Amino acid sequence: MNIEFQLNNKNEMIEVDPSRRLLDILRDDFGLTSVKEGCGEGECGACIILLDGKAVNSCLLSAGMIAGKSILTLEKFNETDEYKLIEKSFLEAGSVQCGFCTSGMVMSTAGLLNVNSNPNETEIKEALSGNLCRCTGYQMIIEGVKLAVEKIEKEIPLVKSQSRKEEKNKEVPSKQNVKLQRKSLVEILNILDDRDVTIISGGTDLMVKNAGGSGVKPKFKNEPLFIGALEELKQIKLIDNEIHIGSAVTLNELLVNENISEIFKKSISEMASFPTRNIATIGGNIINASPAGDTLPFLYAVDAKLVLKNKNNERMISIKDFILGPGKTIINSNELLTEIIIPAKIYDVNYYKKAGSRKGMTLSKASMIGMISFENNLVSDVRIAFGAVASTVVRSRELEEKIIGKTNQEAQSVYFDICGEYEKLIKPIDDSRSSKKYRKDVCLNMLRDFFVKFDK
Amino acid sequence: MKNNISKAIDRVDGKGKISGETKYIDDIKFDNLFYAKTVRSEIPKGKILSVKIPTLPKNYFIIDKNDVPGINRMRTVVSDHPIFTEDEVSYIGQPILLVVGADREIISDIVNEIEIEYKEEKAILTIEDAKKEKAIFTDYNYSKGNTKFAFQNAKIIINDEYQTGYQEHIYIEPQGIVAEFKDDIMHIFGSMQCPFFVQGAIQDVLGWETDRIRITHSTTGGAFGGKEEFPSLLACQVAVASLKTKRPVKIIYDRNEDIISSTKRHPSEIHYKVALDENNKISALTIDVNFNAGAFSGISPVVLQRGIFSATGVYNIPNLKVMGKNYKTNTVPCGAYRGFGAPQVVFAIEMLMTNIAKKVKKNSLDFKKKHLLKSGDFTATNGKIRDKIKLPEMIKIAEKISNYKKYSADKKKFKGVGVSLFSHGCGFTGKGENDIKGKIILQKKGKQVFINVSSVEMGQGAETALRKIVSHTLSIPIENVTYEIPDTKKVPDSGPTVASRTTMIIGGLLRSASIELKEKWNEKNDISISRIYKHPDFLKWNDDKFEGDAYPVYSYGVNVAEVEIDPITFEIDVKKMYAVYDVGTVIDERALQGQMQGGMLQGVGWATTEVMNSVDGKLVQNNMTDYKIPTTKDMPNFKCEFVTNPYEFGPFGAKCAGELPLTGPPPAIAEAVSNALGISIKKIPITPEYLMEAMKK
Ligand SMILES: Cc1cc2nc3c(=O)[nH]c(=O)nc-3n(C[C@H](O)[C@H](O)[C@H](O)COP(=O)(O)OP(=O)(O)OC[C@H]3O[C@@H](n4cnc5c(N)ncnc54)[C@H](O)[C@@H]3O)c2cc1C
Ligand code: FES
Ligand code: FES
Repeated sequence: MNIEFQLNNKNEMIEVDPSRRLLDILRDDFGLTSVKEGCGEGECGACIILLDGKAVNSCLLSAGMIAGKSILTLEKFNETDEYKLIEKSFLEAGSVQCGFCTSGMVMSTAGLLNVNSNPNETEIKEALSGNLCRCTGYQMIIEGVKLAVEKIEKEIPLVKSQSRKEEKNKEVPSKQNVKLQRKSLVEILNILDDRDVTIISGGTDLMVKNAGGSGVKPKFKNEPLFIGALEELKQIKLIDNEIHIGSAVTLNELLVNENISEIFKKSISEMASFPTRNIATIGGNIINASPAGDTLPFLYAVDAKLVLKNKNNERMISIKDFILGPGKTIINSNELLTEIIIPAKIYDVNYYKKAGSRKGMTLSKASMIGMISFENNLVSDVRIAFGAVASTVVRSRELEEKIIGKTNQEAQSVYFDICGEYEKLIKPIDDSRSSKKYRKDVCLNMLRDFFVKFDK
Repeated sequence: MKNNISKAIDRVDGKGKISGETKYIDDIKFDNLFYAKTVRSEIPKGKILSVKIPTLPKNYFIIDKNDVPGINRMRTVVSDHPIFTEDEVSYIGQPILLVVGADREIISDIVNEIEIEYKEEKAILTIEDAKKEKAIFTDYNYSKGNTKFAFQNAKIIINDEYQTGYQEHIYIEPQGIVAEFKDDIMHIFGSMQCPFFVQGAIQDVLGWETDRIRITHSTTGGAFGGKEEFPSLLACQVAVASLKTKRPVKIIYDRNEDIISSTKRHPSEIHYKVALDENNKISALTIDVNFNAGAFSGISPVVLQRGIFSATGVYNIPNLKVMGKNYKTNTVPCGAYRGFGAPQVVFAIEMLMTNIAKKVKKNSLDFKKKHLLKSGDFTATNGKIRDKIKLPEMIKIAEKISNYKKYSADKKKFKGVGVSLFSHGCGFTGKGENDIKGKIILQKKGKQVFINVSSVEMGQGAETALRKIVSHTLSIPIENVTYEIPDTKKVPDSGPTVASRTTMIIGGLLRSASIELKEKWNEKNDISISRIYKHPDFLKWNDDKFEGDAYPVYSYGVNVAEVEIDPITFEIDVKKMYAVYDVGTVIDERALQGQMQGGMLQGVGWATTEVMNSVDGKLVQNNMTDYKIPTTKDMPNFKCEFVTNPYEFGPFGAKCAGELPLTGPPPAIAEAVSNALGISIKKIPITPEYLMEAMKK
């Protein structure tokens, strides 16, 4: 397949197998060795580059996903004024030891500065949480970034930086000439109807699941079909008190959208890492149907509806009827998940808690979402859902209804009853991340915590 | 009091690394390159009945035991690891053969088609099993004073036990080596700590003299002990492959492969019997240190030595009996990891002190202070402490910079503070330095001075430190001092880059050579000065009895950890780590801060999130998704200070520094957690699962 894209401000066209990892293409075909491989599974950040200005893991991207996009690696970024100040700051702060994580750190910093020119320490930590460093203990890297922010602010006045940005754009007007090579929704649905394909949205699940290792392309079950760039699937719209989210909307796009509730954002913000969230999509998380899928507890709690389309038809189905078990859904091979519809309603008290193996970048051992509203001092609605503790999300309308209509005090008194009932529904497993016992205990602690929180 | 050698300078290798221009082994181009992929054992123990190889395309090769011209064993302390499996496999991940060729896709297909038939045998999987089967590699013991008498007269006798888990290095650059056989020379390039170790190993496997074996170091993206002995194995394998194929052969591990097959920190079980006298002072200790060494012995004996010699921490224990065993199990071999056997025993002794203090209703820091070693005392192995021990002063500083007093007074639940006191013996253990006799050469050509050593830069800042020591001594700009890339063809064998010895021992030799060079500075000719390490005469060591000066000198540390525990999930949040160190004289403040903070975070990880279990001989956490090192969101805030305490034989008074910082956080954190929850901590990593259970009791 021929793929056109822009690399370090130059248009390129390559003949390539669309499954090949971008990381391999950059290193092996273009000799861009600042891009490092430390894990090949999205965990270390050594391979981070900028894709259309956003920090992303190049080991999680395949050739088919870069068509029409622009890629910046450190080889080019290191010619900029910003870079020079970052370099100076990293030296001054002692941000470098073995250096193997460093190019990824620099590119993550570049990506951060593109969206936030004056980040505070928490924001810096968040942006770098997908970059592992085993040498420094991070503090001196964070100090390096802080110093760089200061220096850039001081030494590259806005006017100059603006004009420089314009100049940058001037240099590369040809991006418009890069063929987008994007298929339309109709074309995609036709292909789905015609043959068996592997749909790739962000690819963060599929690239890791099918990874073949360094220099070996991932082996997808069928011919890959890339849908991640489809405009029709990238919209977030508020229509009649409902939010329609396109299936290819990325996690970070959800995080900056004003229509998305804070509690949903909280659960998303604790997923993966900043660069991975620039690629991973909500649709992928749903179809993946992992018991530990972190968007799912919220989506179950609000009874999200999913829109499935094939060439001729469209159907709408509630998420709980859609997911059958780990990795299993009722989607047909000719169907595409196009939209996720959630109510815009905001509850009075919102609770989300995730137990993981560490704070940054971790899969759930257990999680809980709780939302409750009151009207005239009576519980008007409550939603409770647990993630990662059964084959699918645990939610029970029956138990929720035991709380509805009660005063706060009455609600508190049914706690022990329903706690026992939830205990029966929670059926966790032992695995590499945690134990059955812990998972169950944590869920019950979270439930208690939720009750305490809304009691106030 | 600050010597200006301590003033920070920019790292000499910083620019290339920040700009992405520095080339690591996988970034270097070789013409006509072949790649190699390892096929490994899938069972913990058994015989190989058959290996079915598919028909190979042209120019694709299988390299196995039959291709080894010399000895099929990797040379190290105990040379027992086969380069390629013969007919028996002893752990999951043991290398059986390589598939070699130009295209990694084709190699991968061949690997997938290879079928190996085994006859499985009963495996020994845990220390427990190994005890039953008496599967022991090494069995050491030593003693001091009269433990029998002390126990007879003890007021209280306490038995206790501690455990520590595996730790994986997670250097961000995976293992990687290239071998190029050309012009009758075997040339090895790669990521490693010890070029001469690799040369020795190749010597055995090829059966050649060293003049035909050349090792060139490439920029190393982190090592932490993980690239001490292990790279020799890869190097031997690709050397055999290159010899057979007459092509350069490269092997770079994928992360999962690296984790399942490379060496790790030894999991340990440490048992104590304690005698307390009428003043609640420890009058005697019996310490039984048990390490899981894995399937091959390798360098485990020396790891165990450091472990048992460090077993009393910074305390003066008059009567002592120490036993140490390395158990043989059918699990991945363990090896060097920053701290080298000491962090395990230091965690245990510190927690033992904490728990005894609790038992006798004393504040743990006061209890520890009562037992501190001081100058003139004798170490566990009866070596005399000659240097000043500044721990009391360091404790005061630590109390001042941390909230120790305030925190330890207010007993808020789920919040706690803990202190650890620790030391690290500098340089090789026992007669090690004396055996190695590290050599350096300092040359002057025109205005430029050249450092020729085999000590490598792996992130720790060796290049900067060594150039700084020379430039400082000669009062010339650092640009006028060149550090030659370690290449066995060019540099002398100054010994391996291990045991925190580079600055102190190699830096010391360079400083001494520089002083001589300074005197000769105005001579017209090129000058070459060499030095060979000589152990100071007063140091005595009996290697049969394990008696005397196990180390020439020690560096010291005090850590204070502040933790908060989530009452819902029991996740530990290490909020702050305060530290005070005595590493003699600081060679570069910024570089040292980096070493200390980085080392401490490895300690934090080992104590908290870095869970690694072996079940049925298989590592459950075998990729970065499951083996969790701390991220930016998991790091505590670090504050490190230094006291100056120059060592006569170190350059500018410098002692060792690199390994020390990993040791302190685990016991400090464990004590803090124990204070926060009112429970005793008996093992690390301290997982939320462990705490949840402990809190139910
Ligand atoms: C480093 C790392 C960390 C992670 N951390 C987390 C975490 O904390 N929490 C969590 O929940 N997940 C995590 N994940 C998993 C993953 O990132 C998410 O599940 C992500 O949302 C998947 O989206 P994607 O677009 O990348 O999926 P893809 O890989 O593109 O697709 C996933 C599946 O969905 C199918 N699919 C995608 N879109 C459609 C569609 N529109 N119609 C039909 N089928 C479709 C694909 O065929 C595939 O089977 C992590 C992954 C990585 C690599
Ligand atoms: S190589 Fe580690 S994140 Fe891509
Ligand atoms: S500097 Fe070595 S991994 Fe960050």
